[in-house]
Amino acid sequence: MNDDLVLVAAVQNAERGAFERLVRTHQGLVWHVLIRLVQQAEDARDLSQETFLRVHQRLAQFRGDSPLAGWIARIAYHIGLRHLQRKRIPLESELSDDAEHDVFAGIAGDVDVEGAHADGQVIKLLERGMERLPPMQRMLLTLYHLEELGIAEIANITGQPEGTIKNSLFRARHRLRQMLEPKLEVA
Amino acid sequence: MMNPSQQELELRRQASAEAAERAGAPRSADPDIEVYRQVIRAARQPLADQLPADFAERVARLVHADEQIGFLDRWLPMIAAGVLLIAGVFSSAAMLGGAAEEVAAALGSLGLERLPWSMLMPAGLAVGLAGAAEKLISARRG
Repeated sequence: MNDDLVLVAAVQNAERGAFERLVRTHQGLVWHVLIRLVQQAEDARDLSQETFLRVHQRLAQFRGDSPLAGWIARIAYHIGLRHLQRKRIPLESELSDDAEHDVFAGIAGDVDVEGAHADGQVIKLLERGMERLPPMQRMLLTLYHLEELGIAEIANITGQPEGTIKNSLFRARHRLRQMLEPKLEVA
Repeated sequence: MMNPSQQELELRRQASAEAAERAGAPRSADPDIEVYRQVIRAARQPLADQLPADFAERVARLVHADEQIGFLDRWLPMIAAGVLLIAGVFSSAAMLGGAAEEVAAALGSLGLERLPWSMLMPAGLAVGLAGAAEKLISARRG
């Protein structure tokens, strides 16, 4: 039996501390999915809690044929998605390329890319830029680069084809690069 | 909108940047690749907002409380009904002992003397109290 199944069995047998251990193990991934999707920290905290309560209710449905992390992240993703739908926030941008460019306009205004702390400044600027990306792209960047999940794992969480995930990642990185372009041309 | 050759070029730059970041390679001579490396580094930054340190403990406590309420929810009405039924049978038998004949006579005039009233009355009382207990539990769960 793999570690996931051992932990799930422990939770189902109501072993002391088992569910807390499960939450502690997976809360980082759940948080990254939800904070990137909904962006409001308070909402993301509530939804993280809702995710783990649902995980507990549905644990008997976990078969162990895929990693527990992905199974839990999928629940978090769907809870986040429902929250966005309720708030009528689109998962992907509905803007044209030009309009999207306007979204980033002015964001680079006070950043000195040639200064002594240029790298740090650029990273901060890009973090601000990431916050203006559509929810799906924000989440994909974090899952792929920060959580270091593979494309197949992300596709499994979101239920989207791998090609769609790759394309969204490409567009997200390209948008952020475009955001930096005016500053780099000046420098 | 990018044309296919531009897109191909950008894809190659992104792939090179990703490979260079993974390998921990020194700064790239190609500024376009370098920009993508910065984008990747930004995406790898830990987020400022985090879950509270006691999040796991709190969620586990919530689940535990929910399980306890679930147990009460399932068993308390039945336990209450059983206890009340037994108590009702005994107390009714004791209380109604003297009056039983009068009541039987009164019911007899209505043709209801054959119904087991000493059982039905406490049973009805028990069902009512069990319903009230269930309502109380629902209210506690909010």
